[in-house]
Amino acid sequence: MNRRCLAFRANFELGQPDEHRDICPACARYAAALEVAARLSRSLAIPPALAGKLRALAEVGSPAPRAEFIPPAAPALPLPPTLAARLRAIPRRQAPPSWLLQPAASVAASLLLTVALTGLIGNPVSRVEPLARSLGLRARLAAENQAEHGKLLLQQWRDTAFGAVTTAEGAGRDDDETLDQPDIADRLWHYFDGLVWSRTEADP
Amino acid sequence: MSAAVSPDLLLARRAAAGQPQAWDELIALYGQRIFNLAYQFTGGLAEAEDLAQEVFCRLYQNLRSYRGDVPLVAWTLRLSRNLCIDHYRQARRAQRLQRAPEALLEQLPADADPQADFARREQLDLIYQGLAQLAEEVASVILLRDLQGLEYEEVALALDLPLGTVKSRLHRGRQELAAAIERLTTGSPRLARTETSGGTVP
Repeated sequence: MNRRCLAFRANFELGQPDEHRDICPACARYAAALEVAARLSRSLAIPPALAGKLRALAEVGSPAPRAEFIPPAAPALPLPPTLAARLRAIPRRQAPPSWLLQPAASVAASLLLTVALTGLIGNPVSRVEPLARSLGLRARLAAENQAEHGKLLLQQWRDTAFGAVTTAEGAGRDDDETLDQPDIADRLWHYFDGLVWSRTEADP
Repeated sequence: MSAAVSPDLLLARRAAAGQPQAWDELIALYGQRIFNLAYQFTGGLAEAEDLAQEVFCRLYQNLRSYRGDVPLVAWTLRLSRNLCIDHYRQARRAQRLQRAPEALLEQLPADADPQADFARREQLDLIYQGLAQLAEEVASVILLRDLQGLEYEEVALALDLPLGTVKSRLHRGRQELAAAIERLTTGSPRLARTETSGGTVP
Protein backbone atom coordinates (compact mmCIF):
# COMPACT_ATOMS: atom_id res chain seq x y z
CA MET A 1 0.00 0.00 0.00
CA ASN A 2 1.45 3.30 -1.04
CA ARG A 3 1.41 6.61 0.73
CA ARG A 4 -1.60 7.94 -1.20
CA CYS A 5 -3.67 4.89 -0.28
CA LEU A 6 -2.72 5.28 3.38
CA ALA A 7 -3.62 8.97 3.36
CA PHE A 8 -6.94 8.26 1.61
CA ARG A 9 -7.93 5.61 4.16
CA ALA A 10 -6.85 7.71 7.11
CA ASN A 11 -8.87 10.71 5.96
CA PHE A 12 -11.82 8.88 4.49
CA GLU A 13 -15.24 10.23 5.36
CA LEU A 14 -18.55 8.89 4.26
CA GLY A 15 -20.10 10.87 1.43
CA GLN A 16 -16.97 12.88 0.65
CA PRO A 17 -15.81 12.49 -2.99
CA ASP A 18 -12.14 11.79 -3.59
CA GLU A 19 -10.37 11.31 -6.87
CA HIS A 20 -8.06 8.66 -5.44
CA ARG A 21 -11.06 6.38 -5.09
CA ASP A 22 -11.69 6.59 -8.82
CA ILE A 23 -8.20 5.58 -9.78
CA CYS A 24 -7.44 2.94 -7.06
CA PRO A 25 -9.69 -0.17 -7.15
CA ALA A 26 -8.49 -1.37 -3.72
CA CYS A 27 -9.36 1.88 -2.02
CA ALA A 28 -12.66 1.96 -3.90
CA ARG A 29 -13.53 -1.44 -2.40
CA TYR A 30 -12.43 -0.23 1.05
CA ALA A 31 -14.63 2.85 0.79
CA ALA A 32 -17.57 0.81 -0.47
CA ALA A 33 -17.22 -1.63 2.44
CA LEU A 34 -17.23 1.19 4.97
CA GLU A 35 -20.31 2.71 3.34
CA VAL A 36 -22.13 -0.62 3.55
CA ALA A 37 -21.10 -1.04 7.18
CA ALA A 38 -22.33 2.46 7.96
CA ARG A 39 -25.70 1.72 6.40
CA LEU A 40 -25.97 -1.53 8.39
CA SER A 41 -25.04 0.16 11.65
CA ARG A 42 -27.88 2.58 11.18
CA SER A 43 -30.31 -0.32 10.87
CA LEU A 44 -28.83 -2.63 13.58
CA ALA A 45 -28.51 -1.02 17.00
CA ILE A 46 -25.79 -2.32 19.32
CA PRO A 47 -27.36 -4.39 22.10
CA PRO A 48 -27.11 -2.62 25.48
CA ALA A 49 -25.24 -5.53 27.07
CA LEU A 50 -22.63 -5.45 24.33
CA ALA A 51 -22.37 -1.70 24.58
CA GLY A 52 -21.78 -2.00 28.31
CA LYS A 53 -19.04 -4.55 27.81
CA LEU A 54 -17.40 -2.40 25.17
CA ARG A 55 -17.49 0.62 27.44
CA ALA A 56 -15.96 -1.44 30.25
CA LEU A 57 -13.23 -2.52 27.87
CA ALA A 58 -12.40 1.06 27.14
CA GLU A 59 -12.37 1.94 30.84
CA VAL A 60 -10.15 -0.79 32.24
CA GLY A 61 -8.30 -1.83 29.09
CA SER A 62 -8.85 -5.54 29.76
CA PRO A 63 -11.73 -7.84 30.65
CA ALA A 64 -12.81 -7.59 34.30
CA PRO A 65 -11.41 -10.42 36.44
CA ARG A 66 -13.87 -13.03 37.63
CA ALA A 67 -15.06 -12.28 41.15
CA GLU A 68 -13.67 -14.59 43.79
CA PHE A 69 -16.07 -16.93 45.52
CA ILE A 70 -16.01 -16.51 49.27
CA PRO A 71 -17.92 -19.00 51.37
CA PRO A 72 -20.30 -17.32 53.81
CA ALA A 73 -19.56 -17.54 57.52
CA ALA A 74 -20.97 -20.60 59.22
CA PRO A 75 -23.68 -19.93 61.81
CA ALA A 76 -22.42 -20.02 65.37
CA LEU A 77 -23.60 -22.55 67.91
CA PRO A 78 -24.24 -21.34 71.46
CA LEU A 79 -21.89 -22.52 74.17
CA PRO A 80 -23.53 -25.55 75.81
CA PRO A 81 -24.14 -24.91 79.55
CA THR A 82 -22.60 -28.28 80.41
CA LEU A 83 -19.40 -27.33 78.62
CA ALA A 84 -19.36 -23.90 80.28
CA ALA A 85 -19.54 -25.63 83.65
CA ARG A 86 -16.72 -27.98 82.70
CA LEU A 87 -14.59 -25.06 81.58
CA ARG A 88 -15.23 -23.11 84.77
CA ALA A 89 -14.10 -26.14 86.77
CA ILE A 90 -10.70 -26.31 85.05
CA PRO A 91 -8.78 -24.10 87.54
CA ARG A 92 -10.15 -26.09 90.48
CA ARG A 93 -9.02 -29.43 89.14
CA GLN A 94 -5.81 -28.11 87.65
CA ALA A 95 -4.05 -27.05 90.81
CA PRO A 96 -3.01 -29.98 93.04
CA PRO A 97 -0.32 -29.20 95.62
CA SER A 98 3.13 -29.57 94.12
CA TRP A 99 4.22 -32.11 96.73
CA LEU A 100 1.29 -34.26 95.72
CA LEU A 101 2.71 -34.59 92.24
CA GLN A 102 5.91 -36.22 93.47
CA PRO A 103 5.95 -39.97 92.79
CA ALA A 104 7.37 -40.66 96.24
CA ALA A 105 4.48 -38.86 97.87
CA SER A 106 2.05 -40.87 95.78
CA VAL A 107 3.63 -44.11 96.87
CA ALA A 108 3.65 -43.06 100.51
CA ALA A 109 0.02 -42.07 100.36
CA SER A 110 -0.98 -45.36 98.85
CA LEU A 111 1.06 -47.20 101.48
CA LEU A 112 -0.73 -45.39 104.30
CA LEU A 113 -4.04 -46.11 102.68
CA THR A 114 -3.18 -49.75 102.34
CA VAL A 115 -2.18 -49.94 105.99
CA ALA A 116 -5.46 -48.40 107.00
CA LEU A 117 -7.47 -50.74 104.83
CA THR A 118 -5.68 -53.91 105.79
CA GLY A 119 -5.98 -52.82 109.42
CA LEU A 120 -9.68 -52.83 108.98
CA ILE A 121 -10.04 -56.12 107.21
CA GLY A 122 -7.04 -58.29 108.03
CA ASN A 123 -3.79 -58.82 109.94
CA PRO A 124 -1.91 -55.58 109.33
CA VAL A 125 1.57 -56.93 110.07
CA SER A 126 1.46 -59.96 107.81
CA ARG A 127 -0.17 -57.97 105.03
CA VAL A 128 1.83 -54.79 105.14
CA GLU A 129 5.34 -56.16 105.58
CA PRO A 130 5.79 -57.71 102.11
CA LEU A 131 3.83 -54.91 100.54
CA ALA A 132 6.01 -52.29 102.18
CA ARG A 133 9.15 -54.01 100.86
CA SER A 134 7.65 -54.18 97.42
CA LEU A 135 6.52 -50.56 97.51
CA GLY A 136 9.88 -49.39 98.79
CA LEU A 137 11.55 -50.85 95.74
CA ARG A 138 8.91 -49.46 93.42
CA ALA A 139 9.05 -46.06 95.05
CA ARG A 140 12.69 -45.67 94.07
CA LEU A 141 11.81 -46.58 90.50
CA ALA A 142 8.82 -44.32 90.46
CA ALA A 143 10.81 -41.41 91.83
CA GLU A 144 12.90 -41.47 88.69
CA ASN A 145 9.89 -40.89 86.57
CA GLN A 146 8.56 -37.45 85.78
CA ALA A 147 5.94 -35.59 87.74
CA GLU A 148 3.43 -36.25 84.99
CA HIS A 149 3.80 -39.94 85.50
CA GLY A 150 3.39 -39.45 89.22
CA LYS A 151 0.20 -37.56 88.68
CA LEU A 152 -1.26 -40.37 86.59
CA LEU A 153 -0.13 -42.91 89.12
CA LEU A 154 -1.71 -41.02 91.95
CA GLN A 155 -4.95 -40.61 90.07
CA GLN A 156 -5.15 -44.35 89.43
CA TRP A 157 -4.33 -45.23 92.99
CA ARG A 158 -6.79 -42.73 94.28
CA ASP A 159 -9.55 -44.24 92.16
CA THR A 160 -8.57 -47.70 93.30
CA ALA A 161 -8.53 -46.63 96.90
CA PHE A 162 -12.01 -45.17 96.65
CA GLY A 163 -13.17 -48.44 95.14
CA ALA A 164 -11.48 -50.40 97.91
CA VAL A 165 -13.02 -48.24 100.62
CA THR A 166 -16.42 -48.70 99.06
CA THR A 167 -15.89 -52.44 98.97
CA ALA A 168 -14.75 -52.51 102.58
CA GLU A 169 -17.70 -50.41 103.71
CA GLY A 170 -20.08 -52.67 101.83
CA ALA A 171 -18.46 -55.72 103.31
CA GLY A 172 -18.69 -54.25 106.79
CA ARG A 173 -22.38 -53.87 106.43
CA ASP A 174 -22.78 -57.48 105.37
CA ASP A 175 -23.61 -60.37 107.64
CA ASP A 176 -20.62 -61.75 109.53
CA GLU A 177 -21.15 -65.15 107.96
CA THR A 178 -20.79 -63.89 104.45
CA LEU A 179 -17.83 -61.58 105.14
CA ASP A 180 -14.59 -63.13 103.95
CA GLN A 181 -11.96 -60.80 105.38
CA PRO A 182 -8.81 -62.68 104.30
CA ASP A 183 -10.15 -62.97 100.77
CA ILE A 184 -10.78 -59.22 100.50
CA ALA A 185 -7.36 -58.45 101.94
CA ASP A 186 -5.68 -60.86 99.50
CA ARG A 187 -7.45 -59.36 96.57
CA LEU A 188 -6.57 -55.84 97.64
CA TRP A 189 -2.95 -56.79 98.19
CA HIS A 190 -2.64 -58.39 94.74
CA TYR A 191 -4.44 -55.55 93.12
CA PHE A 192 -2.16 -52.90 94.58
CA ASP A 193 0.93 -54.92 93.91
CA GLY A 194 -0.06 -55.53 90.30
CA LEU A 195 -0.92 -51.90 89.85
CA VAL A 196 2.41 -50.75 91.22
CA TRP A 197 4.24 -53.16 88.98
CA SER A 198 2.33 -52.13 85.91
CA ARG A 199 2.88 -48.42 86.56
CA THR A 200 6.56 -48.66 87.42
CA GLU A 201 7.52 -51.21 84.81
CA ALA A 202 5.38 -49.90 81.93
CA ASP A 203 7.21 -46.60 81.39
CA PRO A 204 11.00 -46.60 81.14
CA MET B 1 6.47 5.83 77.88
CA SER B 2 5.19 2.33 78.52
CA ALA B 3 3.56 0.31 75.78
CA ALA B 4 -0.18 -0.28 76.05
CA VAL B 5 -1.06 -3.65 77.55
CA SER B 6 -3.65 -5.53 75.56
CA PRO B 7 -6.94 -6.42 77.30
CA ASP B 8 -6.24 -10.07 76.47
CA LEU B 9 -2.96 -9.91 78.33
CA LEU B 10 -4.51 -8.25 81.38
CA LEU B 11 -7.19 -10.88 81.47
CA ALA B 12 -4.70 -13.70 81.05
CA ARG B 13 -2.56 -12.33 83.87
CA ARG B 14 -5.52 -12.08 86.19
CA ALA B 15 -6.64 -15.60 85.33
CA ALA B 16 -3.12 -16.93 85.78
CA ALA B 17 -3.00 -15.25 89.18
CA GLY B 18 -5.94 -17.37 90.20
CA GLN B 19 -8.79 -14.88 89.97
CA PRO B 20 -11.87 -16.99 89.28
CA GLN B 21 -13.82 -14.12 87.78
CA ALA B 22 -11.04 -13.54 85.24
CA TRP B 23 -11.23 -17.16 84.15
CA ASP B 24 -15.03 -16.90 83.90
CA GLU B 25 -14.55 -13.79 81.81
CA LEU B 26 -12.21 -15.66 79.49
CA ILE B 27 -14.80 -18.37 79.06
CA ALA B 28 -17.50 -15.80 78.40
CA LEU B 29 -15.33 -14.06 75.82
CA TYR B 30 -13.86 -17.01 74.01
CA GLY B 31 -15.75 -20.13 75.07
CA GLN B 32 -18.28 -19.99 72.29
CA ARG B 33 -15.66 -19.20 69.68
CA ILE B 34 -13.38 -22.03 70.72
CA PHE B 35 -16.34 -24.39 70.92
CA ASN B 36 -17.43 -23.47 67.40
CA LEU B 37 -13.91 -23.92 66.10
CA ALA B 38 -13.79 -27.29 67.81
CA TYR B 39 -17.09 -28.18 66.22
CA GLN B 40 -15.70 -27.36 62.80
CA PHE B 41 -12.70 -29.56 63.51
CA THR B 42 -14.66 -32.51 64.85
CA GLY B 43 -18.08 -32.44 63.22
CA GLY B 44 -19.73 -33.80 66.37
CA LEU B 45 -21.12 -32.06 69.45
CA ALA B 46 -19.72 -34.44 72.05
CA GLU B 47 -16.30 -34.49 70.39
CA ALA B 48 -16.36 -30.70 70.11
CA GLU B 49 -17.05 -30.35 73.83
CA ASP B 50 -14.16 -32.64 74.68
CA LEU B 51 -11.82 -30.86 72.30
CA ALA B 52 -12.85 -27.42 73.56
CA GLN B 53 -12.22 -28.54 77.11
CA GLU B 54 -8.80 -29.85 76.19
CA VAL B 55 -7.99 -26.58 74.42
CA PHE B 56 -8.99 -24.60 77.50
CA CYS B 57 -6.93 -26.92 79.71
CA ARG B 58 -3.88 -26.13 77.62
CA LEU B 59 -4.75 -22.45 77.72
CA TYR B 60 -4.92 -22.53 81.50
CA GLN B 61 -1.66 -24.43 81.82
CA ASN B 62 0.13 -21.93 79.57
CA LEU B 63 -1.50 -18.67 80.60
CA ARG B 64 1.68 -17.41 82.23
CA SER B 65 3.63 -17.62 79.00
CA TYR B 66 1.13 -15.49 77.05
CA ARG B 67 2.77 -12.19 76.09
CA GLY B 68 -0.20 -10.40 74.57
CA ASP B 69 1.50 -9.76 71.26
CA VAL B 70 -1.04 -11.86 69.34
CA PRO B 71 -4.78 -12.41 69.76
CA LEU B 72 -5.55 -14.86 72.51
CA VAL B 73 -7.77 -17.11 70.38
CA ALA B 74 -5.08 -17.61 67.77
CA TRP B 75 -2.46 -18.16 70.46
CA THR B 76 -4.69 -20.73 72.13
CA LEU B 77 -5.24 -22.50 68.85
CA ARG B 78 -1.51 -22.60 68.26
CA LEU B 79 -1.08 -24.34 71.60
CA SER B 80 -3.53 -27.01 70.48
CA ARG B 81 -2.75 -27.02 66.79
CA ASN B 82 -1.71 -30.64 66.53
CA LEU B 83 -4.64 -31.75 68.61
CA CYS B 84 -7.09 -29.84 66.43
CA ILE B 85 -5.54 -31.08 63.21
CA ASP B 86 -5.66 -34.65 64.48
CA HIS B 87 -9.34 -34.28 65.21
CA TYR B 88 -9.93 -32.69 61.83
CA ARG B 89 -8.22 -35.58 60.06
CA GLN B 90 -10.20 -38.09 62.04
CA ALA B 91 -13.44 -36.31 61.25
CA ARG B 92 -12.61 -36.20 57.55
CA ARG B 93 -11.65 -39.85 57.53
CA ALA B 94 -14.84 -40.74 59.35
CA GLN B 95 -16.71 -38.62 56.82
CA ARG B 96 -18.38 -36.59 59.54
CA LEU B 97 -17.81 -33.40 57.57
CA GLN B 98 -19.20 -34.52 54.23
CA ARG B 99 -22.40 -32.59 54.82
CA ALA B 100 -23.28 -29.53 56.84
CA PRO B 101 -23.94 -30.70 60.40
CA GLU B 102 -27.60 -30.55 61.34
CA ALA B 103 -26.82 -28.49 64.44
CA LEU B 104 -25.39 -25.74 62.22
CA LEU B 105 -28.30 -25.84 59.81
CA GLU B 106 -30.65 -25.36 62.73
CA GLN B 107 -28.83 -22.14 63.61
CA LEU B 108 -29.53 -20.50 60.27
CA PRO B 109 -31.87 -17.57 60.79
CA ALA B 110 -35.39 -18.31 59.66
CA ASP B 111 -36.68 -16.46 56.65
CA ALA B 112 -40.26 -15.63 55.79
CA ASP B 113 -39.66 -17.13 52.40
CA PRO B 114 -39.36 -20.93 52.67
CA GLN B 115 -37.62 -21.02 49.32
CA ALA B 116 -34.90 -18.69 50.59
CA ASP B 117 -34.59 -20.82 53.70
CA PHE B 118 -34.11 -23.92 51.63
CA ALA B 119 -31.58 -22.18 49.39
CA ARG B 120 -29.49 -21.08 52.38
CA ARG B 121 -29.47 -24.58 53.86
CA GLU B 122 -28.57 -26.03 50.50
CA GLN B 123 -25.79 -23.49 50.06
CA LEU B 124 -24.23 -24.32 53.43
CA ASP B 125 -24.54 -28.01 52.71
CA LEU B 126 -22.88 -27.58 49.34
CA ILE B 127 -19.99 -25.71 50.93
CA TYR B 128 -19.33 -28.58 53.29
CA GLN B 129 -19.59 -31.09 50.46
CA GLY B 130 -17.17 -29.01 48.44
CA LEU B 131 -14.76 -28.60 51.35
CA ALA B 132 -14.70 -32.36 51.83
CA GLN B 133 -13.29 -32.66 48.32
CA LEU B 134 -10.44 -30.23 48.96
CA ALA B 135 -7.04 -31.11 50.35
CA GLU B 136 -6.87 -30.83 54.12
CA GLU B 137 -4.34 -28.00 54.23
CA VAL B 138 -6.46 -25.89 51.90
CA ALA B 139 -9.77 -26.76 53.51
CA SER B 140 -8.49 -25.91 56.98
CA VAL B 141 -7.52 -22.41 55.85
CA ILE B 142 -10.96 -21.80 54.36
CA LEU B 143 -12.55 -23.21 57.46
CA LEU B 144 -10.72 -20.84 59.77
CA ARG B 145 -10.79 -17.74 57.61
CA ASP B 146 -14.14 -17.87 55.83
CA LEU B 147 -16.36 -20.10 57.91
CA GLN B 148 -15.07 -18.99 61.31
CA GLY B 149 -13.99 -15.47 60.46
CA LEU B 150 -10.43 -15.47 61.82
CA GLU B 151 -8.13 -12.75 60.52
CA TYR B 152 -5.36 -13.70 58.10
CA GLU B 153 -2.74 -13.19 60.81
CA GLU B 154 -4.70 -15.36 63.21
CA VAL B 155 -4.97 -18.16 60.68
CA ALA B 156 -1.25 -17.93 60.00
CA LEU B 157 -0.51 -18.12 63.69
CA ALA B 158 -2.95 -20.91 64.39
CA LEU B 159 -1.68 -23.09 61.55
CA ASP B 160 1.95 -22.00 61.89
CA LEU B 161 2.12 -20.83 58.29
CA PRO B 162 3.62 -17.71 56.72
CA LEU B 163 1.04 -15.06 55.94
CA GLY B 164 1.71 -15.32 52.21
CA THR B 165 1.08 -19.04 52.27
CA VAL B 166 -2.23 -18.49 54.02
CA LYS B 167 -3.31 -16.01 51.38
CA SER B 168 -2.23 -18.16 48.47
CA ARG B 169 -3.87 -21.25 49.93
CA LEU B 170 -7.01 -19.29 50.58
CA HIS B 171 -7.11 -17.98 47.02
CA ARG B 172 -6.46 -21.41 45.57
CA GLY B 173 -8.87 -23.03 47.97
CA ARG B 174 -11.69 -20.65 47.09
CA GLN B 175 -11.19 -21.36 43.42
CA GLU B 176 -11.15 -25.08 44.01
CA LEU B 177 -14.18 -24.83 46.26
CA ALA B 178 -16.10 -22.83 43.68
CA ALA B 179 -15.20 -25.41 41.04
CA ALA B 180 -16.19 -28.27 43.32
CA ILE B 181 -19.52 -26.65 44.09
CA GLU B 182 -20.05 -25.93 40.44
CA ARG B 183 -19.51 -29.60 39.72
CA LEU B 184 -21.93 -30.54 42.47
CA THR B 185 -24.62 -28.19 41.26
CA THR B 186 -23.86 -28.53 37.55
CA GLY B 187 -23.41 -24.82 37.19
CA SER B 188 -26.09 -23.53 39.52
CA PRO B 189 -25.59 -19.77 39.92
CA ARG B 190 -27.16 -19.51 43.40
CA LEU B 191 -23.89 -19.11 45.28
CA ALA B 192 -22.93 -16.67 47.00
CA ARG B 193 -21.06 -13.51 47.97
CA THR B 194 -17.90 -11.79 46.84
CA GLU B 195 -15.25 -9.93 48.74
CA THR B 196 -16.23 -6.54 47.44
CA SER B 197 -19.82 -6.53 46.39
CA GLY B 198 -21.57 -9.44 47.99
CA GLY B 199 -22.90 -10.40 44.57
CA THR B 200 -23.31 -13.81 43.08
CA VAL B 201 -20.62 -15.94 41.59
CA PRO B 202 -21.21 -17.80 38.37
